[in-house]
Parts: sequence; structure tokens; C-alpha cells
Amino acid sequence: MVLVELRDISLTYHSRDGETEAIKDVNFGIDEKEFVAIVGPSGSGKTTLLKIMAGLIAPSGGDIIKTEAAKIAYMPQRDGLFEWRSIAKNVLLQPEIAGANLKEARQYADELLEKYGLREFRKKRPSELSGGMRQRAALIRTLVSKPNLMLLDEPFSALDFQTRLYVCDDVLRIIKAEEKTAVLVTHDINEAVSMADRVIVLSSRPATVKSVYSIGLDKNLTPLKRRELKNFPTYFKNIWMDMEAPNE
Amino acid sequence: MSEEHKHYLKKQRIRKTVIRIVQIGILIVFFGLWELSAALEWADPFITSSPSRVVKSIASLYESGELFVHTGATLWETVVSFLISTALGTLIAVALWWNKFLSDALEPYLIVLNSLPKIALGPLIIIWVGAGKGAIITMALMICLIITVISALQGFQSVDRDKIDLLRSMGAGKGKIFIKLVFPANIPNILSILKINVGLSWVGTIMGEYLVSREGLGYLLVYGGQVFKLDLVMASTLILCVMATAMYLVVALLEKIAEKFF
Repeated sequence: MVLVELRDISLTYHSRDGETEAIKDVNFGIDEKEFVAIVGPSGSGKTTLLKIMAGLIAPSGGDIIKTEAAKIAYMPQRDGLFEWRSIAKNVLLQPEIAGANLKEARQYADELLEKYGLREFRKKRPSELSGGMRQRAALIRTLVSKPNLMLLDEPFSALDFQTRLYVCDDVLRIIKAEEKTAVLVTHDINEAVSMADRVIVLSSRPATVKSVYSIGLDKNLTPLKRRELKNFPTYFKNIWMDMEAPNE
Repeated sequence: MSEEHKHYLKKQRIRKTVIRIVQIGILIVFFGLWELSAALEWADPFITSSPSRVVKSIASLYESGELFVHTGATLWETVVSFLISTALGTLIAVALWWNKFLSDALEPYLIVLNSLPKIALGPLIIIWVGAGKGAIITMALMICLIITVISALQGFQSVDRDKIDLLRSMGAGKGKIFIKLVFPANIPNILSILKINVGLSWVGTIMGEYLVSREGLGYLLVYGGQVFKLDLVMASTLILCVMATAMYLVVALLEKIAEKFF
């Protein structure tokens, strides 16, 4: 089932220096429980596209068709945890803002914190946690609203390489365990190929969909293990060449 | 604990004690030399006064009951103008943060008002507000208010865009973004504004008292200068030092407490 579909999405920025066509005629759909990665050269408007999907930016043209069941949660670059709130309070941000039943939300949040090993850090401030744990807390904050589509904007870009590999495994495990649909934006091809079911390659500005790859790597393996598979480099090479090739 | 660490801790302790001794030493030497120079007439005590004369002056102020009238008046004016300017300044900054059009439109006026030496408004204030406590508080307000607005607004506007987007994606409107994010993120900034305002409201109050007053430390200073009672001038200055420092320490303490939470 298609959860969200983008039809002919385009975006033009206007500033005093003129107008910039950032996104042009982008079309794709996201299936339920699919993990889609969007890659593209830096400055290609990946993040902008994600923000359009999150409803933060209105596109200049085109439509976003959402099924009624679609409930979207957005996770920004860096974890965006509030330093003046404890972890337990950070993950309750969404229900607080939505004016939801806090007792229920707290119960669910506690369940998630327990399940993903953050229970003993409930009372801690974000600065007392390691980068990987902060990212996990941010992911739980996104899960608390019970979304079925999670939009992840380069969630690993602020982490060092080693933590990054570990957090990739962690995030994918949690998303799969919670049976969520996810869209991940990244500039790291390895990350995209190792995590996603499908990779959408954007061209440089104005961004259009250049190619789409269905990743046929063993889904039972962790992203780290998938990197060792024989056909992993082939995906990498093809995507890399797509990104390098000039726009038609 | 290793020997090395013990040694390190001891060194730190000694350093701290020495610093404290030097600090107190400076005070003693300063007042000692001052007293000595007056006693031995190196300088004319009529012009420079002396610690003992200052103490006598304070004692006589106390006996006549004037001491608390003057310190009370100045303290009241300072605290009132400090509170009003901080609250009003923050409120105006909130309004300007809320409405980007308004803040863009008013920007040049804020710059002009900030650049203007507020003391120039003295004659106007006296005529408009009347020569009394109102004028003094208005003067102090003028001095603190604009800088509060500018610094608070700057703080509000520099909140992480990513975090604002996060809240927007959760469906938060401007009000919730302010309450949940912008305000708590700015508590440290507001506290540092408080610290600046403590100093500025003293400046404003004393300046206001120079212009119009029948009581207060600023009045004592002007009066003392006019009748050449330098003992009184020095006494008022010292009292002012103590009071201003005390108020600063109170705010600094508040900041320390708040730092634990933000």
C-alpha cells in the first residue's frame, strides 16, 4: 500500500538576488513499512524535499497525496534534544504539544525507554548521554507520537564514524521492530545502501529523481554486515556514477 | 587518592588562600594609607576625607535617621526601575519576536534610541513626569529598557532553526514554540541581561537623583559636593559600592540556581 505519494513536486526559492529552482518535478511514492533512502549531491535539496514531505515548507507546485492512515513524524539533523529537559521529558514533547493524554503517552514512552535501554537515563540531561544514546533518545521522541512514517534528516551527520556505524544498526533495528515506514535523507551512499530497501538518487540542482535502486541485500543482516556483502560495492558504484553524471 | 593528586589539591588550596589574603590585604592597605595620609596631612583631609571621618559621617547619618531614608529611597527606585525595565523590555522583545514585520519596521528607531545618551532626555522627563521619584524611575527605565529589548530580541531570534522546525512538525504554533523552546532556551541570556541591568539601573537612578531629588544617595552626593562636605560624598560613595555589589550578588546567586535547571 502506498502511504505517501509525491506528484510533480517543485520548489522555487525567491530572494532579492533572483530565483532559484531547487526542486523540479519530483515523483515517487513510499510504500508502507518500506525504508527509503534519498541520496544526492550536497546542496541538491534533499533536506528541502524532506521538509516539504513533513509539511514544513509548502511546495511551489505539485501535490503530496497522503492516505488517511499516514501520520508523519520528522527528525531533524542533530538530535535537537532540549538541554533543560530530562530525557523522560524530552521524549514527551510531542504529546505535550498536541495536548494528548499525558498519562498514556508517559506509559508508552517509559515502555520504549525501557525496551531500548534508556530507562536508567530517564532523569538525566541530554548532555550527560553519549552521542549514540542521544540519537536513540531522539528516535524514541519521534516514536512516542506513534507515527507510521518517519522522516529522518541526516540523523547521523553529527556523529563520529564509529558511533555512526553503530547507531545505523541501532536505528534500523528499532524502526524494524516498531514496524515503521521511514524515509532517510543522507549524502552518504554507503549508509543509504546498507540501510534502505530502496534508494532514490536525486540530481544536482534543480533536483529531480535521477534513478531508483531496489536494494537486494539480505534484509536479515544488520547494515554493518550488509556492507560486507559481495554486491554492495556494485550498488555503491552505480549510485556514485549517477550522482557524478551531469544533468541532462 | 594518589600522592600526586593530594599534592595537586594542596597546591590549589594554598593558592586560593593566598589570593584571599592578598584581596583583604589590598583593602587594608588602601584604607590604611588613606587614613595615614589624612592623619599626617600628606593630603588635605578637607579634600580627600579619611576613613575615620567617613565612619563618623555615616554614624551621624544613622543617628539623625537620615541614613535609611536616603539608602531606602535609592534602593526602592533602583529595584523598581530594574524590575520594570526587565519585565517591560522582555515583553516588548516578545512582541517584536512574534511579529517580524514590526521588528523590521522598528529597527532603525531602536538603533537611534539605543545610541542616544539618555541623560539628554533629563529636562524633558522633568517637565513631562514632574520633578519627583517618577522622573528618577523614568530616567533609569530609559537607560535599561532599550538595551534589554535589543539583547532579549537577539537571544530570541538566535534559537536553533532545527529545533523550531522540530516543534512545527509536531504541530506547534508560535505560542507553543515560544513557551516550550524560545523562552526556556533564553533563560541564561535573560539572566545575563539581569546582571547588566542591575548595574545600569544604579547608573540611571543616581543620574536621575542628580537631576531631581530631595532624598537618596545621588542627592547626598550632589549636596555634599555643593557644600564641600567631602566626608559625606565619600560616605555615600562607599554605601553605594556596598549596596550595588550586594544587589549584583543576589542576581548572580539567582543565575547560579537557574543554571542547574537550564
